[in-house]
Amino acid sequence: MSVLPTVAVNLEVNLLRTVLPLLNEGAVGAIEWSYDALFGVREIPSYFTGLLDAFAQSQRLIGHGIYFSVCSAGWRREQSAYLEQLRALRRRFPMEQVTEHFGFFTGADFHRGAPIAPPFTTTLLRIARDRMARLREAADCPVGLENLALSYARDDVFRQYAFLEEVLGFTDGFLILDLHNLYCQAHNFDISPDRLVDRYPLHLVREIHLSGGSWAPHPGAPEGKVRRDTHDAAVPTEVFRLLRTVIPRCPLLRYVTLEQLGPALKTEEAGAQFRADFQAMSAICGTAAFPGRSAVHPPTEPEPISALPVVDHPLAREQTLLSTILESSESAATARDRLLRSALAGSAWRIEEWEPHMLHTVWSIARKWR
Amino acid sequence: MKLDKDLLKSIALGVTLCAVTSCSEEEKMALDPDDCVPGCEKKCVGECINKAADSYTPDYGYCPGCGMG
Repeated sequence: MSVLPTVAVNLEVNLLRTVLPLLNEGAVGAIEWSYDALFGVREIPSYFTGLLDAFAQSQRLIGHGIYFSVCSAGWRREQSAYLEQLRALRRRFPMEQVTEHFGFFTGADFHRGAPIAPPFTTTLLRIARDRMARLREAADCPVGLENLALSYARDDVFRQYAFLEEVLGFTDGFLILDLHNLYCQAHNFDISPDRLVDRYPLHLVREIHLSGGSWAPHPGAPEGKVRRDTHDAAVPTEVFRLLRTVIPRCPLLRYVTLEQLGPALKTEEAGAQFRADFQAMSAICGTAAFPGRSAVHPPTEPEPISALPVVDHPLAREQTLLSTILESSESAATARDRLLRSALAGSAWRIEEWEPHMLHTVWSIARKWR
Repeated sequence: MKLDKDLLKSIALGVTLCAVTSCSEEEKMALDPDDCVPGCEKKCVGECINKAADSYTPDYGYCPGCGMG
């Protein structure tokens, strides 16, 4: 079974214009679609539904959700509605797999916010498994999670990887390995990227993401800058190197997906660079040898679903408290002081260990989306 | 994967017709999203699918508008 060079395609003009030459060449093996970004759109243009239909009919359409908030400890009416919409959408556009982001949303609005890493506790494990089982039932296909770029402390990186394996190892769940997210973590915590790859549950990786990003200055960060996963630039050379080394180690790998934001593809130069990145990615997919690749995902029973969603009110309150402090503090230093005096101090959140440059990063994100 | 030529033509046409003028990246980043609502004639987030306040976010992780992540 071959690995399909895949493009993250959504209803965005600059992105579609950039990808069109690749579609004309027949170079795109599959497309990944963020289906829930269109839940609120009444009428999807026929040219876009035609594109989705073409790939769906060839079993080459995969879904990548944004809004389900897998690690939210509460349960909102909107999450039930989300699953209903996914069931309907899946009947219209059959997807080979559906993935979501690890983390929970900040912000009061269900459809606004940023993904924030939660504490890795047994309570959260029960919640994340429950959410993935519900997603699995609604999507009626294998479901997976993507590693989050954002971590607060060096040990959180490793804890996240182990936790992802625990969430997904029990059923036919799988992982996306976002290599740029891993690249961000490697820089931001001064860890060898190869060491991070070694710690990632590669046996669960069915998809790899590639993208680019940017640097944000911070005096406390390695080399005085934080690497951010902004999806607005070319794929770094180091990320391509990681792709070459990691592909042979992922026996379930099926898709390698290139992502970039449409607004970053306005110029012809940016579009040409994107297509060059795709061709480089495609060449790596096509030349790698995969002697041990599994033809299908190991068959397992889906996780049984309880009548009511698993919720944990104390953790939900903590998530809200964290969001509130981050969003309402005038500076990252103020946020730190407030956190250390809050109910989160001395808890599983380990806020005492948070690196200042990462607290500043998460504070910036939360403030943007308050 | 090879696609039907008529489909490719329709995508090309759709992309051409949907192109809109919008602000620079710097102008967008300076906006308070709450000021940019459906119907706003500035069209600062005009190229995003929902034309809504949270459609543009080139920030950590993904874009709620177009879903990269």
